[in-house]
Amino acid sequence: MTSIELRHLTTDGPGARPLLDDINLTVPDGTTLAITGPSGAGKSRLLRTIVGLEEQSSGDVLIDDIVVNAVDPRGRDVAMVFQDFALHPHLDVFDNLAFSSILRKGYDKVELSDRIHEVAELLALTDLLELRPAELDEAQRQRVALGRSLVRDANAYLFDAPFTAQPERVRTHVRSVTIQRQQEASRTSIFTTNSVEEALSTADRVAVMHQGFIHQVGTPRELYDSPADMFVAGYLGSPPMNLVPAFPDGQQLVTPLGTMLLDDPLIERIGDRSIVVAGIRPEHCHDATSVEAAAVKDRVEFTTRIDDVEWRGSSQFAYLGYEIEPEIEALMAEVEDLLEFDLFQSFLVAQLTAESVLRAGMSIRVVIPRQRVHVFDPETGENLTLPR
Amino acid sequence: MTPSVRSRLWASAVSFALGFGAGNYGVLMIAKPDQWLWIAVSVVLMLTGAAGVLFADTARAVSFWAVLGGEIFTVLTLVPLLWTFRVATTPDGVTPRTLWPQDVTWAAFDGAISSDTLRDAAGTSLLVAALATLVAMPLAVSAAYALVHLAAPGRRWVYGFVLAALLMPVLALAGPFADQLIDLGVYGSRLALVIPTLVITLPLATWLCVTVMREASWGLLDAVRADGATRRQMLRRFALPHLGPGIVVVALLVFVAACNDFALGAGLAPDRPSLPLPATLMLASGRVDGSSAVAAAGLLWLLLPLALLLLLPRRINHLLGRSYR
Repeated sequence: MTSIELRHLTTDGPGARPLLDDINLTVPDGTTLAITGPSGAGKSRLLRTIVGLEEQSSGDVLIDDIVVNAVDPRGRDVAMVFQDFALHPHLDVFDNLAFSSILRKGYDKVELSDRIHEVAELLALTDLLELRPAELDEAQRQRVALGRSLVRDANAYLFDAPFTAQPERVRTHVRSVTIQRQQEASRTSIFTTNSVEEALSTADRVAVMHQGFIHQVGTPRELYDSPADMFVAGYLGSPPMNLVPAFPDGQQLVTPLGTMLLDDPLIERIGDRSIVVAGIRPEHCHDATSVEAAAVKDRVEFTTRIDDVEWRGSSQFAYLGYEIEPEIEALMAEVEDLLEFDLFQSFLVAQLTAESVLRAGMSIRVVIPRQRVHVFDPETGENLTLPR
Repeated sequence: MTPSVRSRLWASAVSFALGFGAGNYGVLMIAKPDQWLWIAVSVVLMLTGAAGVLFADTARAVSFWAVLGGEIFTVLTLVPLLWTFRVATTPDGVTPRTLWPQDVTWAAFDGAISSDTLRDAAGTSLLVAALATLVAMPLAVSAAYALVHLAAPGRRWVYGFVLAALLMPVLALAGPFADQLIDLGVYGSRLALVIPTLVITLPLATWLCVTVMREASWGLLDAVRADGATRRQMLRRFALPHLGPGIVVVALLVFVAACNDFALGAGLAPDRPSLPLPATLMLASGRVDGSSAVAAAGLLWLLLPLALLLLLPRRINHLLGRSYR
């Protein structure tokens, strides 16, 4: 049907930092893109700009390879679900669902009604069709807002945090029926979400956005395996990646917990930096006595004391504390201030198999596959592990 | 929040003392029919006091200061109305001496309705108010939209100016306006009153419309735009259902306010037929037969806002900034 492309899209903000910062994004025809990032990242602003409700300061929005900067929302014909649902209080659910379709001439009444019933069935709204929005609870209202877009036959579909109000148990279901329907009709969609897990599990491709800037776009696997920078690394995953200060010393990288060998290309990329940040995902840490650890050939090993253990049934989290110099801590606080995001902790979280018997206070030997450790530049955030 | 026991007991004491005083004064000093009114008021006040003591130590969410205030407000409102009714229903040649109506005759109402002077005056008032409202509303709606929705610089100042105009004594403008109308040679015509009346209608309409606009859900307008509505569809599907009712109520309130203008009418119209009703009631009472007719006309004129309040109490309450459950 339709592709969406953004070229150098920039919107100036009231302060020095732009609301949207040179955004380049391509959503190919029929695919789903998730934009994720902390609140205030500019996700809603981006969607509103694509729809045509807000104007950018510079850059282009292209729909089907045609620049639509000067086209009004009607001309762009992009459906959008709003975060505040934007339902008509004086219309019942059926009329709300029909609303956008009846704005255009030449719709078929019977066909529209069929489509509404079909969507209502999908979103469990069939019994509510005659109620007004005020009589619905928040989750139902959100599903009506969602349905209103699904009923419509638009060029593309934008969803602004469309599943937040759904209760935990229903959310996965609503999400999957919505995305499935979009994919079956090969509709182009973009949705925003605060939840990393939602973004990774649902979309064909994910964009990580923060402070009006898109840090990385890629398939969920790409983002997870090779994060482009420290923010993406620290934002994706739950619990997020451990970011530990580390000091290159010849062939070695010295961290507060242990020392690892460096490959030649990486040494070259680290250059004369005196401090870097090592990124280790909790799920890549293994208890040395476990089966998984035995399978790891090229390994980093260290022994430390367990501060605390959280048992989660399918796995357990061990918190391994370490000390850092005050000046290093100050440097890291500076980076966090700049990013307005908490990346660093003074402990390493290891996600270990539930079988290992662990207690706070005991010492543990941890094994990490060496190739899984990422190395970042602390100032630019760049991932030095990735080949340039 | 439940009021404290101490506050309730104080309210009871004050209410009882007021009732006791009023009762004694009525019994000792006031003659027969009105004595009953005094006694009735005193009984209500003393019962309030008793209820206050009974409920003092309960969790009921009742403030007896508020009850007492409501009672006093009712008395202060109803007594002048009752007096106007008393004057209006007194037969010719009798001077009313009691508040309670005696020998009620409705002749004055007939007189007021059939009096040419009053009929002309009412016609002038309604016509001028209607035209002034009609002119003011489109301007006020656009101004309010701009004040609420457009990020124009200095809109706070403009809004402040609107409020200042609303609070300005209209009488101060009547003199200069009269000079201007005389210069233009239209002094004394009905239509010439419309433009000065805008001084009343325009700021009031703008101020009330700002409230309407502030409460509108503009997010919904964005949604309607994103849905692909044309300009006309936005008007029909957003403005009409979401702003329409509020704007109609504003127009009615502004119309009533313009109808009740006294200062401009008195200052700008020398004579009938261009003298509006409130000014006629005040200035031309000599020309109307007796004070009964004036009182009767006043009571009839009161029906207009009363009808409005009875028809749209909820919206008016809401609009004027009271929370309404």
